Amino acid sequence: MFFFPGSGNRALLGFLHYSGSPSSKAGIVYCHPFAEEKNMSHSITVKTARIFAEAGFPVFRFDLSGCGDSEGDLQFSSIEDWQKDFNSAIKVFQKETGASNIFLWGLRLGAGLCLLQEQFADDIAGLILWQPVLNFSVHLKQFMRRVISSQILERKESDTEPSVEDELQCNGLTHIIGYPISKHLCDSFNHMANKSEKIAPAVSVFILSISLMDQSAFALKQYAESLKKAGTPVVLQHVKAEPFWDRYWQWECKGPAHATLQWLQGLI
Amino acid sequence: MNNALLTEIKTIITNTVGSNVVPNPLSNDYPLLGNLLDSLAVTNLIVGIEEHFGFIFNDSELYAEAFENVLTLAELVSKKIEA
Repeated sequence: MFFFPGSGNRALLGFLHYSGSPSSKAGIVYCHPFAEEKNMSHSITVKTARIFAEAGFPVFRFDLSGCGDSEGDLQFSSIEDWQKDFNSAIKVFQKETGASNIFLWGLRLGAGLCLLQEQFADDIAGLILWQPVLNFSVHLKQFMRRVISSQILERKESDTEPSVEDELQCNGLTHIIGYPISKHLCDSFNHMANKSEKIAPAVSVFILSISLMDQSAFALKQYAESLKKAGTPVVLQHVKAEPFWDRYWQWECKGPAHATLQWLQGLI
Repeated sequence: MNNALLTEIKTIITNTVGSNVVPNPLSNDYPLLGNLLDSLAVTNLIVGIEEHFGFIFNDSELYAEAFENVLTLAELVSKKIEA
């Protein structure tokens, strides 16, 4: 565990899972999801990183600026900053391990960031996208719906209280379950909107759908199909499992790790 | 109401709140609000429905009565699909 400089020279926390027996020059850099999904998914992603490392793939996990234990304030962060953070993390990982075939692994918003990153970083061998967020703007809107959800739960009319949007317009800042959401952050999410969805990566892409449904969501099937048409080598796989990024009590979820490992070992 | 849609809604609810807390079987009129759904689960249920069916609700389309039970939720989804 160590700190390294990210966007704006902010100190970012990184955690490197060394591989006992590196089978190749391949390694993995992980990018976490947004807000509470990061906390809820932490245990599973750490365990998954250990599984990958034991299989010969060193893994680097890090906290984006303004998130977790990294320096910065969420309200002053932006997608653009996070892209720079991600890039710094890849370089640090390369320096520490000498890996030249790097797989970017992301969960939810982190997967969306992997798609944006693929264009700018060298030595990217593939993308591992777990239940990817393809539209940042929609993702933030869905996160901010927590206020409406509370109103629904309390059976209140939504127009009896000032909306989150009104608060953002008036104060430039609102708080959603303790997270400071600023107009700056919103503008950044809205600016990126669905840019990640429109990128057709040149490298192999593994999309993992994780839910208790019998098959992957319509949106992911549609997305995988669009990548295929654009010539991207893509595999869409569905694992029937609890969506652990929405669960505080979910401590085990090996299916996604094993499915991903199988895909990785098939490539290397 | 379409049985396939009701089944899909039930699976999305299970996916949202967890298989260990949803009664089995989940009846169409089982009260959801304040029972199975807290505010986090309501948010996630809305996202789950949107991602599964591939549409986005306007905030004005979301109201408490639609979340009373499986049947009312299926009506909300059915209206959105037909719109």
